Amino acid sequence: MSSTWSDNADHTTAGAEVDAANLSLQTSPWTEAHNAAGFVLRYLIPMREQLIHGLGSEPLADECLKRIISHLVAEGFGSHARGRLRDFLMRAIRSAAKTLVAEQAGTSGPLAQSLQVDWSQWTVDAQSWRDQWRAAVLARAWRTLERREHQDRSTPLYSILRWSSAYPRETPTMLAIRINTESDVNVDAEMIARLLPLARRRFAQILLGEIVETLDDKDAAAVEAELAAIGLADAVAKLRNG
Amino acid sequence: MASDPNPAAHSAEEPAGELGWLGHYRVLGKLGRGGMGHVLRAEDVRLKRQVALKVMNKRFSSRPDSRQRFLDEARAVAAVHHDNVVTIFEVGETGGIPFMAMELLHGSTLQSWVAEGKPQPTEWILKTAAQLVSGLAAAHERGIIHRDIKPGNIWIQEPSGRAKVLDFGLALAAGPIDPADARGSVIGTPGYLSPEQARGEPLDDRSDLYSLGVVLYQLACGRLPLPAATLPEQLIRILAHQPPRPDEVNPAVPTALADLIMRLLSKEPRDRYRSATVLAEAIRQVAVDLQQQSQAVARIVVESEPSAKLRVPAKLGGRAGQGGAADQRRTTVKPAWAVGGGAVALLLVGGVAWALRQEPSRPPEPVQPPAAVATVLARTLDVLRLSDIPAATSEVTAGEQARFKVALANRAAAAEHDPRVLNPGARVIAQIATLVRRVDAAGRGLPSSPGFPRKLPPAMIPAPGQSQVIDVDFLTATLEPGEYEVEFQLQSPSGTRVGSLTSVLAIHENLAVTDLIEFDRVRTERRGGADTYVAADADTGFGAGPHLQIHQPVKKADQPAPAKHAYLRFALGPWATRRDTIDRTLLLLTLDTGGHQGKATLTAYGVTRLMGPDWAEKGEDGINWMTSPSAGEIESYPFLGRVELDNSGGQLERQIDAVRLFGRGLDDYLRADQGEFITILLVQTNTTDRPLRVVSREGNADESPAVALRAEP
Repeated sequence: MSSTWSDNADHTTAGAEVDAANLSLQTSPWTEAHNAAGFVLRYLIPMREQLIHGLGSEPLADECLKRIISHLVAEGFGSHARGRLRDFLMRAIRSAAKTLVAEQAGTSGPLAQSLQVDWSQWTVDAQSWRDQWRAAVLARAWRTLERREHQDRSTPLYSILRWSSAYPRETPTMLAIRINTESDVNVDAEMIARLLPLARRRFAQILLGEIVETLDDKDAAAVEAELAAIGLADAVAKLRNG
Repeated sequence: MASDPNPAAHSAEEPAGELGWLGHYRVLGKLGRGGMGHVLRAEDVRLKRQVALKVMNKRFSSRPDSRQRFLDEARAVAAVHHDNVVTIFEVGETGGIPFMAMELLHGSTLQSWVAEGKPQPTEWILKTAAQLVSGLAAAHERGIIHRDIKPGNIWIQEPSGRAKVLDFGLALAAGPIDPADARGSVIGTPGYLSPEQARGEPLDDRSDLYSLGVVLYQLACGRLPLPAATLPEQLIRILAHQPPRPDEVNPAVPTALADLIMRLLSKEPRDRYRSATVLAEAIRQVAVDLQQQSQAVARIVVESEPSAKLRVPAKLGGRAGQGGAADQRRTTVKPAWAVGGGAVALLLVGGVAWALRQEPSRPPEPVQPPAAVATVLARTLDVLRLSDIPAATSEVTAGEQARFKVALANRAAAAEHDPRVLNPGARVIAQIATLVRRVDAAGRGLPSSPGFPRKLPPAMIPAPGQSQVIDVDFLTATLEPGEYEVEFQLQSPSGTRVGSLTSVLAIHENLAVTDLIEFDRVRTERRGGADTYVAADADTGFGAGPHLQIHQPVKKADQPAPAKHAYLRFALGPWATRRDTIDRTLLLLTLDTGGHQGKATLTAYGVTRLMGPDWAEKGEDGINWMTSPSAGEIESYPFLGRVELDNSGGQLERQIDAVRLFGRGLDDYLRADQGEFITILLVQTNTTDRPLRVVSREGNADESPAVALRAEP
């Protein structure tokens, strides 16, 4: 790979904290995961949502997932460990779903006649799949940010960013009153004004770290391309600017 | 098992049956096997005490990172000293095999309870949950996460019923599926994994709270919240399925408890309780809410001299709160208010702009319905005064009821100032809330409320110029032994303080149920000890038999039966020269089969000086009725204590040391300077058809009568 992605947008006084966040960018890509099944479980929710969307059945979706997990436990990623994890998983769920539907068609069970699957929607670039994937990446980033706040409640970046995102028009003073009233986090306006830019940058970095892990190439262009593909490019750019 | 002259030469890799020594531990047997290794029963030959020895197996110990983490975390846990966390005596490594020596516990894991698949009583669940959370909080405060909370790692001690968390911090994997195992075996216990564990994410203390929620769900419902047949199915369910509410599975589960459990089972850690400490308060609040809504009040017999109370624990292995009043109350305690739904997951399903504008999801808060009664303003209660009455409890045994009397005076100068007149529609005019605060050497703690406020309806408010005596009782089950300041706050029904009164209370340790971990047991089987019994119609003693008989027979003209008294001699050994250090003592007996089944009262007297140190229990010189103090005025001998026991259905038989006699008389007697030996006379002070049978040293040395002694801290 030609160059690795780095965040040059951070110029805050809390630079050391941001540097720590950069560590997430140094994690290994999904293709090097020691435990394929364990790694994929991170993305079980979007896979399941996509299966339900395509099959219209929660039990069938779960059956597909069981087969995928079992296969990954036994075989790992195999020779398919390249490219984007997002693509790999879409192919996996499509394969599992096709197999299952074929099995159902060969039976006289009640699902045999009712399963009318439009396979044209099961592509790696399907909008529904990219939406599910974006949601999953965001959810993981929020979870990471919140976990860090839980470990260090003196820097409530999660709470500040979350509440300011929910009430973007409120001033720091109003936001402080709201946060102090409606949550168990204590902040003041000065703290919000000081930490909100950092929170945005930190969130962007976590998001980037999540993206990097789903690619087999840390090249900056590949990361930017993936951000654009799942509709996060503009948002991340704004967040990086604080 | 033969001892080895060179203990250190043995390897821990050998199977348990061939393992003689591990360092200075002599292995006595195997207690169990876990995912990481064996648990052995062993003796610490240096300290002469038995321990549970956990030895890491070869598979784990061969990984240097696992081995070091085992040692690091075990050492960290060893620093946690808490009643609800198993005590680790030593952490070490020998021959490359890490091990830890832990306290050897009596009882069983919670697994044996949940295996029955039956819901447990709510009160017991709350009590156990409070203890477990207390233990978790102590570890979490030190940054230690358990990672594998499940029934098999929770110990219920007997006879106290105390819950202890085992195996802290020993789950070594970062994810649920073991990468070192080609078959993809699971590390941890699938049904109890938190979602973040299933995803292989970094864990914090809230992961333990999720797993605890699974355990509580299982206790409340008799089943797992998300049962599954296979590992993949289990993981999917943990990550993507919502369990049915506990009160849907078992309608007897109070809504407040169901809400608490569902919050613990939130998929996102941020939707659970923030910490074990916060959860502890929530559990306490649920207990208070349920108590407030229950009209049943447990009554506990209280004697006038709490320190001399002698109790016998319930049958060992019996489950506190199971059946009886607790069960009967279960269906009456559903709170009127209900929290709608569980916590809401925060998975975002849209672009970042959309996502960032969503209101943070927060667990719903309970909403109290509007009061249906007239509001009483605190200022209308200014004329009411509380004053002390001497007839109050100043001492009580832990777990029993403290009773106080306070005088409520109405100093209204005219009817228009009378609170009853000023609040004509109120069903409750005022309330007396009780707050206790520890004030002894253990430190001055925060005030807590041991019970719900005493509501005062108009009928309990005295007329102007008069006063009314009001009983205020509360249970001490949740309070540690110690000295307490008790504050009675006169409040408006909404809780506004309008006056107060303070008193003091000493809560004594309840030796009837406490663990005897710190006690040294001296049995009659110790060299120099003796036990026998004498009968009024026999000129020989019975010291050679497998049991002792103690009897005060019912008088029947056609069936004369002799009284029978037991004599126990204990060789105190090292205690003889350090009697001034004795803190508390107990006399322990094990009932044998074939004796009286029902209630009985035993009284102990000190007869050491009358008997001398050398009396014989058998043979030609063995004591008999006429040569023993039984022929004299028994009531004139030093009274040591009395115990009322209930052996109905033989429930106490062969329960080791289940009969416990204790009190200041016994403490003082053992502290007195009387040489190495003491002799105790046991008589029955009620009448029964059959004698009680107590296991003698000839019957079973390990179950023979004992005195348990504890040194002052």
